[in-house]
This record gives sequence, C-alpha cells and structure tokens, in this order.
Amino acid sequence: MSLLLPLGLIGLIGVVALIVIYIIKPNYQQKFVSSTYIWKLSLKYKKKTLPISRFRNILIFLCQILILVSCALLLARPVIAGEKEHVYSERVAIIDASASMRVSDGNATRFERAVEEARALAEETEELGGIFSLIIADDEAHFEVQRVTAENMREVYDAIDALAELGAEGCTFGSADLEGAIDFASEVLIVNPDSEVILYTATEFLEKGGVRVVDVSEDGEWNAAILDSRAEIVNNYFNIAVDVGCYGRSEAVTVTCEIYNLNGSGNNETITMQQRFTADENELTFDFNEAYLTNDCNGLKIISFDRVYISIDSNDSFADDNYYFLYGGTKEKIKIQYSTSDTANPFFRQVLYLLRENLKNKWDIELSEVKPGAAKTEGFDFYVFEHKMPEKMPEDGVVFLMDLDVAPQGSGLTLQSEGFSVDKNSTLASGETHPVMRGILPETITISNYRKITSHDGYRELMYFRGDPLVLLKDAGKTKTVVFSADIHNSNVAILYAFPMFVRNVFNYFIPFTFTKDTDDYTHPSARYAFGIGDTLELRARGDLVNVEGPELVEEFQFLDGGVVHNLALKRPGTYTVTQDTLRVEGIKEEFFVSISNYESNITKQVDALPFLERVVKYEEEDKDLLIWFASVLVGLLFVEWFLQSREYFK
Amino acid sequence: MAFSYLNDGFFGRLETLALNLRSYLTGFFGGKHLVRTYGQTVEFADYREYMLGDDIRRIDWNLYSRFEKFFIKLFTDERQMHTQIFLDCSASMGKVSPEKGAYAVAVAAALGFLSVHNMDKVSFELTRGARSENPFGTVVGKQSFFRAIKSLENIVFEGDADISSAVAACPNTGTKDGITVIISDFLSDIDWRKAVDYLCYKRRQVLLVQVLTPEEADPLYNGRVNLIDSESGSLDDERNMKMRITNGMLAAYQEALSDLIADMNYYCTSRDANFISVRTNQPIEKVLFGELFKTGIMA
Repeated sequence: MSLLLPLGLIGLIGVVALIVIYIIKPNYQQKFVSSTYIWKLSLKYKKKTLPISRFRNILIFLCQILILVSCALLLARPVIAGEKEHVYSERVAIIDASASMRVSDGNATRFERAVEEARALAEETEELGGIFSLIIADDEAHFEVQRVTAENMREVYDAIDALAELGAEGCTFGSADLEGAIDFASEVLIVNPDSEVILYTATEFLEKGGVRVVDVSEDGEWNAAILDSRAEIVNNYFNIAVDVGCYGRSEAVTVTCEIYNLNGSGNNETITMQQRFTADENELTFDFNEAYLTNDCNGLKIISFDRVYISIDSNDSFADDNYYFLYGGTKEKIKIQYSTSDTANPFFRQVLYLLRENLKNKWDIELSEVKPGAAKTEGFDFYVFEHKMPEKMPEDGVVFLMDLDVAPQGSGLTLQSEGFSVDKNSTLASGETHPVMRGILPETITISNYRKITSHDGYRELMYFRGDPLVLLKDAGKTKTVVFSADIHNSNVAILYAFPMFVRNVFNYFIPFTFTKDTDDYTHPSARYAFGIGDTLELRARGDLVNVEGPELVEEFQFLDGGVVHNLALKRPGTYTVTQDTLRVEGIKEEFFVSISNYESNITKQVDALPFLERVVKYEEEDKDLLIWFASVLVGLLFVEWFLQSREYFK
Repeated sequence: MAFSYLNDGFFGRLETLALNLRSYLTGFFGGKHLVRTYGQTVEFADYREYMLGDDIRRIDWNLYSRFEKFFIKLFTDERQMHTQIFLDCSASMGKVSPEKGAYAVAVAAALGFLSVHNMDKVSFELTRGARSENPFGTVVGKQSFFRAIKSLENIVFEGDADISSAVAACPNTGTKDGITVIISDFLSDIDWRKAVDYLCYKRRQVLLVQVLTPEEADPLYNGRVNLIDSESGSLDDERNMKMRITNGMLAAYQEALSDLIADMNYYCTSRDANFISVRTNQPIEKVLFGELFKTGIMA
C-alpha cells in the first residue's frame, strides 16, 4: 500500500490531541445536590455490572484513535498496486466436446451453451478488431477456425452456426483431448503472445494453468449412471454386480436387470434393486449376489444367460449412460477330438486337459478322446491325430498331426518310409518366425527318432532337425494344419513347458477369441465383452470374413492371411455384433457392449490441473484506490464508537 | 427568597377549608373543634340527673314535670386546636433549589392559615441543627399570622437539621392539643421515627410532608459526577460522593427513593400518623385540595 498524499498523515496529530484531551479532561463533573442520602442508599440496590463494561472505555478510546487514523489515511489517499485488467488482441476459444458436455438442463446442452458463449466472445473480438481462433476438444482436438481476423469473422460465425446445428452431436462420447487443444493454443501464443485462451467446460479445474475457464454448467444438472457391471461366478452360479454413480443430487435410484434366455430355458427374468445416493456416497454397487437372489428373487439361480439388459429409471440430465448390456453368460462350445493309438498317453492328454482348464473362461471346450478306428473327420473344431493318421484330412477344423505313420490324403505331405534313429542329445533348430513359436526354444528340445518329411507343399517350416523340417504349419483357406513329425515318447518335449505352450499357441492361433482389448486381465467372464469409449478393439477371426455392426457402424473385415489382427476404435456407446463363419459353423454371432467412461459420467468432477499453457504473461500495474475500504472501516468504527458510547450509562 | 407562592389569591382559595382533627382535644381555650367533654355551647348533647352543686339554671323543667326528677341539660364543648409546624430549614431544603424552600414555606403557610382562619393557634418551629426556634410565638389571628408569614418568606435555608432532636427538645409541644406538621425532604440519615413516636406519645395528630424537587425524584444527570451535598461543609465532607451514574444506578436510585417513601408511609400508617410526599412541580393547590383531602386532615 502506498499513499498519494502523505501529507494527509498530518491528521494523525489528532491522535495526539485526543490523548491530551483524555489527559486533561476532568474525570468527574461537580454536581450540587440537595442531599446524597438517596444516592448512598441506592448503592445497596446497584446490580452487578458485566466485566465487559470495564473495558468499554478502553474500547471507546481505541475506536476514537482508529477513527482518527482512518481519517488521516483517507486524507493521505491510500492506494494499492494491482494488476491492470488487460484487453487481449487475440482470443483462442476452446470448447470442451467431451461426453459430459452432452448433459442437458432440458433447454440446451452444455455444449450448446459453450457454443453460444464462444459466439459472444467472437462478437466481442470482432468489435475490438482482434483475431479469433476456435478449437474443438473432442477425442482429437482440432482447429475449427484458426486465427481469423475481424474482417473475416463471417467464417467464424459460419463455423459456430454449424456447431450449433450439430447440437450435442458435436460432442464425442469419450473424453476431451484437452492436452491437444492446449498444444494448439500454444501454437497461437507463439505467434501472438498477446492472446487470451478461454476454455468453455463444465469440469472444475483447481489449477487453471494460465487459461481462463468459463463454467457452462447449470444448477440442477445431475446424472445417474451405470459405471460398470460384472457377471461373476460364485459357487458355480452367476452373481451380477452393477456399479452405479449419482452425481449432482441425492436421489434414490432403481436398477433393473432383465436377464434374457435364463439358463437356456428361453425365459426372461427381471430383477430390481433400489438404493439411495447421497452427496457423500455418490457411487454404490448394486450387488445381486447369492443372498439377494435367494431371498429377494425367489431363489433365482443364474447358470447361463444370453445377455443382461441393465437400466436405471431416472430422468437425469445425461441419458447415454443409463443402460448397460452384459454379455458372456454363455460360452461358445469348441469341440476337440483326440485320436491316439496309444493305450495311454498322459503327456498329450494332460496337455489337452491343461488347455481346457486354461481357456475355460473363453470357451466351453468339449474334449473327446477316441481310438483311431472311431476317429471322425468332421464335426470338430480341433482334431489331434497321434501315431495313427486318418485316411483323409478333415475339412471343418484345425488338424494337429503328431508322429505320422502315413500322410493322410489331402494333407499335401510325403513321408519317408522309415523313421530315423539319432543321437538322443540332438536338438532342434528354429525355422520361420511364427506366432505359434512364441516362447519356445527349439534348441532345448531333443529327439531320438523322427519321420522325415520329404515334401510339404504349402507348409511353413517352423522347426528343423538336422536340416529336415520337423514341425510344419499350414494356414491356407480351409486347411489349417500343424504337423509334428516325431513321437512325443522319443523326445524330451513332453517334460518341457514348450510342448503345452506350443499346443496352446496353435489353438489360440487358429481359434482366437474374436475381440480382445489391449489388456488380458479378465477377472470375470463378462469382462471380455465389456469395452469403453476410446478402447481399441483387436479383432481376430476363425474364418476369412468378419462383419461388425454397431451404433452407426457396419463394417466388414477380411482375414485372408492367418494371424491377421484388425483394430477397431470404439467411439459410440451401445451393443456391437460380430458375425463370422468358422470352418465348422456358419454365421456365428458374438456381441459386446461399449459404455461411456466413468470419468465422463461424473458430471460434477473436479480435476487437479489443466495442461499447462506456456505463455509469457504481461503484467501491467495500476493503482487501485482504497478509499472505499477505509471509508467503510471509518463508518464501521463510528458506528461501534456510537454504540459503545450509548451503552456506557446503560448499566 | 426568589420564589414565593404566597399571595392574596393563594390564601383566598383556602378560606373555605379547615383542618380536621381526628382525636378529641383537651385545652382551655374555646375554639371550633368539638371535644368529648360537655361545655357551654348552645348545641344540646345529653341529659343527666341533677347532682348537688350543679347549676340549677340548667335543670330541664319539662322533664321534671314528666318524671318528677331533676335532670339537667348537657351541651357540647368546642376547643381551640394548636397547630405546630416544624419546618426543616436545613440547606437541603433551599440552598440548591430555592423553589423547594418556597414550596415548603407555602405548605406551612397554608396549614397555618387554615388554623388561624378557624380560630386555632399556630406556631412555626424553624428547625436548624438539633433545636427549633419559634420566632413568631404562638400565632392567633390573621393579623399576626400574616406578619409571621412575611418573615417566613425571608428565612434562609442553611446548615443541617435534626428533626427528632428538635421535636423532642421543643418546650411547647403540648399534649393532646392539636396537630403537628413536619415539613422536610427527609433526605438525611436522621431518625425521623423518633419524632413521630414522640409526638404520638404526646397524643398529637402527626402529619409528615415530604417535599422533593423533580430532579430529586428523577435525576437527569449521568456520567462521572462528583455529587456535592448541600449540607456538606467542604469538598472533603464524607457526605459528598464520587460516582459514575449509569442507567443501572438511576434505576437503583429510583428503587431506593420508592422504598424510602413506602417505608415512611408504612411507618406513619402504623402509628395513625399521616404522610404525604409532594413534588415541587406539582401545583400547591393540588397538594392542599388533593393529597391533604385524601388523608382526611383537611375538610
């Protein structure tokens, strides 16, 4: 604080004068009365005074000093140095176009309000003759208009009109790319540092990082949302857990689950549960657990289902997260036939058992172990022939040939008549790099006897033994064959982890799960069928062609080469249906659900910081008058002093 | 004396009034106050059988013709009352508030006038210190009364006064021969009860008149005040008080004054004495025609 007229402090002499007055002031005024007799009597009637009255005179004196000091300071015109409000010549408006901007108060969505705010800013900029840029921060930030001068502001208005016409559809269903938007704004700031960046959003940022944040939310907005759902197996039955959030209001929310094709009966079942949300408890789990299903749902036991439609009945401000589809209640059956001439080959059998156990969350694997005479060449997804080969190759599944005695018809193989016996310490060598060889080290595998393959048209050579191909793989059209030309008993592979891994790799390569996420952490069966906006789907196929249908999406993917993976970015919430033909079955349909992210469902969220905006801030100082404050203090002190004076003789 | 209530109009309004004595008198001189004894007035009172020594002129012969016994007629008797007025002449009565002294003198004069107007005798006892003086003697007749009043208007209120001692020391108190009026503010720690008891013992009718100024009844000053008692000799006198007068103190003052008046009223009532407390801002006629009428002293 500084003083414009320091001479005004001469008024402080008044304080000295006041003190002198107090010193020379007669303490008692003489009053002649007829008699003091009654006054003496009245002393007995005097009531006890409050202790505060003892300090009243001190307070009055203090008030009077402060009043004089305030007057002196008022004369001295106190000012404080403050930052001058700067009028920027260029404005960069960023509109948050995340899913939470779809929230509507019944009249307009947050996004529409933000667009109108941006329009007002553009008009203001035009009046100032400035430059205007508009950045839309949807899932990938982009300039809507970039550095448009006042003369060309029509271009800005056209863009804003187009955004207004889009309404909520101008928003993504995912999160806003604010980092990208700030990067774009930084580019403008590099060109013209005298720019102001304004973000129109409903998210509260504690640290704004040099950006002026304009809140476009409205009072009364609230959202009840299904955040996540799980079908978990407990004691061999499904329990359904639904995570629900309620933001912006304390409300009782009812969750309804419609279970389709319950336990394969073709019947549907509906179960409900209600819970109240409060400001402190705005995220709760609706647990349709064993106890609830037993007590409140007439002993309902869920063994399987086609899908569960979960919904909440509310008229909240954001409807896209009010429902959820749960899949994974029925596993697809995969049939495996294991044909061996051995009376007992625990090595291979255990590998298959291990495979079944390992993939039990993915597939319902039906394993049939048969003798060569009973082996079939159709009706299975995966065939394993050991020692005794079939006369002709099956055509509706993957074929694994182990220790071939003859080359089956149609296999495209030619074998040498006799097997080779070799030194048992001889190891294999690597062949082509292939997904099925992942994690396998051929140099650790030894064999003592093998059957040499003399021709193998169309096969890939995965492992060699002394230059002879020992492990082959063919993936061409309907032919999906793996050949291991040695007896497991004549190799150490049976006791290595390499063999079960190899079989698993072969299985996963030819019979992959159709859609997977980046992560492989599936804690419950339904997790494979639950995706979020922004997730990238990895699409695999057992056939050549896959059709994907979803909200505003119909797309066909071809898988001409084996092991091909297509990526699909998920941008809209809803159910997606994947259809494909496998070797054995045609028109297999699989479904998964894409939900709004929890982050966007929370429409009252508070975020620590915006991405920091690199800028040079120009501070201009100006003197801010403190007269009004000191005048207010003076009035207050006068009032207090008057009050204390008026109370002096009250008691 | 700057203030004076005494003029012809004031006395003229009193001529229709008289003091009324509740008890019977004893005395030698005839007056206008009926007494219990039989006397020589013309108003018949009773008959009694003739006794040896009675005046035969008072025998009722009409009764003798009827009863053949001698009866004599008895007549009522009327005596003269002695009104004794003790006027507190201390400084508290007039030094600070001259109108208070004038008011007290006016009350005394009014009561004195009522007495002499009804052929009673009146004496003004001016109380100073522990004694009282009677500078005018026993006043009988209006001429000497007005002469006395003229002097009363010029009295000086100073010093202090001990009412009890003055009453007790008064040589001319008399017994059962009239009314004693004490006019004072009673604002001292002198025990006025002794005076009342003494006068009651002397079988006199007693009237206490307390005269207060409006400021005494309701002080208007506050703050830090050094109260100088008008009867104090110097600033160091213990009767002077330094105090901070607040609203609470004023309330306590009112309470103390009310209690004092109530106490006096109660004490006097218990002794068949009369007490009135008047304010100098009250018209004196209101006191005479109002307060005194209520007590029954004036009729």
